[in-house]
Amino acid sequence: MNNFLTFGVVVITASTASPVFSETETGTKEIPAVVVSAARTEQSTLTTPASITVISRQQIEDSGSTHIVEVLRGQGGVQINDLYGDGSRATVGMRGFAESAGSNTLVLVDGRRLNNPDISSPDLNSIAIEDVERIEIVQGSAGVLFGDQAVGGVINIITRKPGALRHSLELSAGSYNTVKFHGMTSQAMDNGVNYLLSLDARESDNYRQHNESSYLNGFGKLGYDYSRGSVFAELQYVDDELNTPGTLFADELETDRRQVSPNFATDFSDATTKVGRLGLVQELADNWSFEGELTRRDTDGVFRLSSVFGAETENATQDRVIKEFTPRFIGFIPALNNTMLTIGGDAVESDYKLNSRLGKQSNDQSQRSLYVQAVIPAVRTLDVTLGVRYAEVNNELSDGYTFVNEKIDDDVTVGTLGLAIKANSNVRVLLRADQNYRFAKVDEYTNAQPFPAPPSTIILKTQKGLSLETGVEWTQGNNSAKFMIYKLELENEIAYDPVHFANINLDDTERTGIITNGYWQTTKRLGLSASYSYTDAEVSSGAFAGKDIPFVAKHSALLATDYSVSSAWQLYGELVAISDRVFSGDFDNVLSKLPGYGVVNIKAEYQVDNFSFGGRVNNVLNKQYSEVGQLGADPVTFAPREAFFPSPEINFLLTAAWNFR
Amino acid sequence: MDTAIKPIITTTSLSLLLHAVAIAGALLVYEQVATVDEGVGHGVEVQLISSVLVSDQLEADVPQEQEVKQDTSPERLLRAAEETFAEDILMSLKSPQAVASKDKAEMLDSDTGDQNADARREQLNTFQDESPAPVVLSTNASQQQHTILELLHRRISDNKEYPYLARRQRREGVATVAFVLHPDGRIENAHLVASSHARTLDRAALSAVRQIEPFIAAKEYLERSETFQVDIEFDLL
Repeated sequence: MNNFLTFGVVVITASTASPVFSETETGTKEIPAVVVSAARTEQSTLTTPASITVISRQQIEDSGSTHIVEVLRGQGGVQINDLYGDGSRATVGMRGFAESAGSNTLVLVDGRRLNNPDISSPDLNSIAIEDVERIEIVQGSAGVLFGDQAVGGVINIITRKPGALRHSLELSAGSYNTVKFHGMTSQAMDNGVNYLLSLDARESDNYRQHNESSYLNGFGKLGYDYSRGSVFAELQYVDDELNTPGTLFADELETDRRQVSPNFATDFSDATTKVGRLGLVQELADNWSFEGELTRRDTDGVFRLSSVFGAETENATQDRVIKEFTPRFIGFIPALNNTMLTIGGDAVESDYKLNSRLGKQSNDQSQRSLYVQAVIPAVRTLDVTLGVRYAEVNNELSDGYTFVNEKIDDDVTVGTLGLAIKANSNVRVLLRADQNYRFAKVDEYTNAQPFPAPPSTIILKTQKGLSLETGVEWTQGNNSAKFMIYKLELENEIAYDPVHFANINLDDTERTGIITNGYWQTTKRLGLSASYSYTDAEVSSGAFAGKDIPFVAKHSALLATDYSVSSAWQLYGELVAISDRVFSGDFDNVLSKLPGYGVVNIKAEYQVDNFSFGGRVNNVLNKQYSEVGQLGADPVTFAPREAFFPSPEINFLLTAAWNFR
Repeated sequence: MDTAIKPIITTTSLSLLLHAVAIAGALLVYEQVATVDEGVGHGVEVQLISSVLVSDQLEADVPQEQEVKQDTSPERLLRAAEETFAEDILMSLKSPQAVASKDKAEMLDSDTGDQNADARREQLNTFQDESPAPVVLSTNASQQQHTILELLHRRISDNKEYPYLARRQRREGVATVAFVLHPDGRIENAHLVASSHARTLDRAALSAVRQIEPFIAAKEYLERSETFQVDIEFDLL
């Protein structure tokens, strides 16, 4: 130790001497440069006292993941439901939400909400993984800071910020005639102007028959950094086309698990999305700054969706326009022990139209909320977080049947109290009570009502919840470990009841669980990570009392290892395991369970100069499993049956990349 | 089924090929790796990249030390390097007088009767309490300047902070700050010579410099007021 320290300081003296110990012409002495860098653990700028798991750019690259879904799968407390195994129609859920995960897990990209005013899940396919700098997984609800739908947790995706001039090109090819291209150029110039242009394109036949996809994602960002702030403008265009082969029954799986059932042979789901965004960060006075973004997202979708009872012959359209304004003030109050205040408001205006064989829906929703949160450093080792949010919603629903210009309004107030105790420089203890909410989606009112609708029209109530959690985090250098335990109680949880073909408010539900994960850099070359979560989710009262909430796995785990064979060679391997689950939609728990499984994925990469060559093999052990299974109905007897979305068997993708810096 | 089997065979053989390549690669480089481990440990390579980083890590990154402690080969290297490489460089940077005075300095160091040396030792320990004072004591003027520059570097490093708002906005840059240091330890006219182009970072840089006041060690090294300047570089890793 002493030797090392002595050596270190001697080296400082030695190697900084020549360039630095100089004297300028004016006689000014130059002190060796001081570098201030924020450690990875300090990178998160979210002000929630929740436990945050950070997935860094390096980890993303090490894993060789080609889709954001692959990175998130198995991470502490995250459950992925990927219908076709290519990530294109996947939902991400946390803390025991599976079926309704898309409405109870908030997904943000640079603060922009991907969640929808309708039940469509956040479109994870709209993010090119190559553009992602890091992903922060916020464990547990964040109702005060993020509002609607931040119930089970928040996935906060942060894209790359332009730096020194950089270009990259990637070409990939692999199983199922998959070809993929990604190109990017970015630069931050000395005059403060910065830009990033990125293009992502993918074509594949995919694993199943009638599952071809064609995907294009163009993204451009222009920014200007000035002394007291920055402005940016963003444009994104996504064209996402996919043939959707639907589900298979067990006997069909047995015959050919890649087949498409004849009813679904012409189904598809295409969408184009255009996003425009303006943002401003402005320092106002010492310790205070303003941040705000103005966003417009416009999605036009066309789809055909059949059922086991018959093939659909007509296309349906689904269009939505979402306008968001998200201003906030952030500041420190030196007189109050440097208390950090965040005061903000969110305004979201949505216009949703569905035109199908069942008629035309035109639903508008407007949400407005105000929030304030204070992080108070009470004493040196204790931060107290207090916050409150008030939110209101106005719906105007027209389905030409049950609702005719029906106005439904509601409002909700939630609060948060959190304690973060720094036991020492390595250990942090967290205690938190956070209230959360989600307003009913516009189409949860209109899509499914008991038949005949009037006079028994269901006006859904706002779902409200309380999340209680405590845990301990330990970090030391690159090594880290955490253990969290939580309880999430919900009233009026909104769910689809397939028995009565209606969206309903469930009786009280309760989820308890444990989330633990760790990373151990055993040597400079070998890193090991592990995460495990236990989730117990059940309906606690009413008709389904004591029943498991469908499609939530009790156990899920991820074991991963990265090994730097040399500076050029890097290897990665992971085991993703999940236990058996009640089929999605099976509230009565009448069907058998969807079997659990373990899947091994590996990756190797070789780098030379500006080039890298890599390959990732998924499902190395060639397991035949289904990541998603749902309650289906027999086309003849109408009896409940298990319906499967079979996941791909062993498959690979090879990638050649050129990086210029 | 034929169409289904074909891709399986293709993917399986490709997977096997990849395995083979990976394993072969691993085997090929294994000896090389083992040799490298015997010689220069990975951690040490990193340490050598930048002395400024070394200084930062020594102060902030305890695990770095532990990692090295666990690994015996870098320790061996450290000892070896201390005896040869580093000392050679250090010596080569010194004026002949300084080299000649090295022995004298060590004598002074152990000479309890020398009040001056004791005082200096105390000063050094004040600012380098985590590490044994490595700076060779010398009466040579230029060597004294080297020492005070090093001390100033360490004190400014102690006060450095990446402002939250700048981290939040992902602002990076280099601010150059100049100031006058008086022998009585006062700091005067701390100002920006070059801006980082971000006001929050400029303010943090100025604050890191201003907070070293009073720099009481100054009287040991300065006969008159002198102007110093420092680059403070803000980097998000």
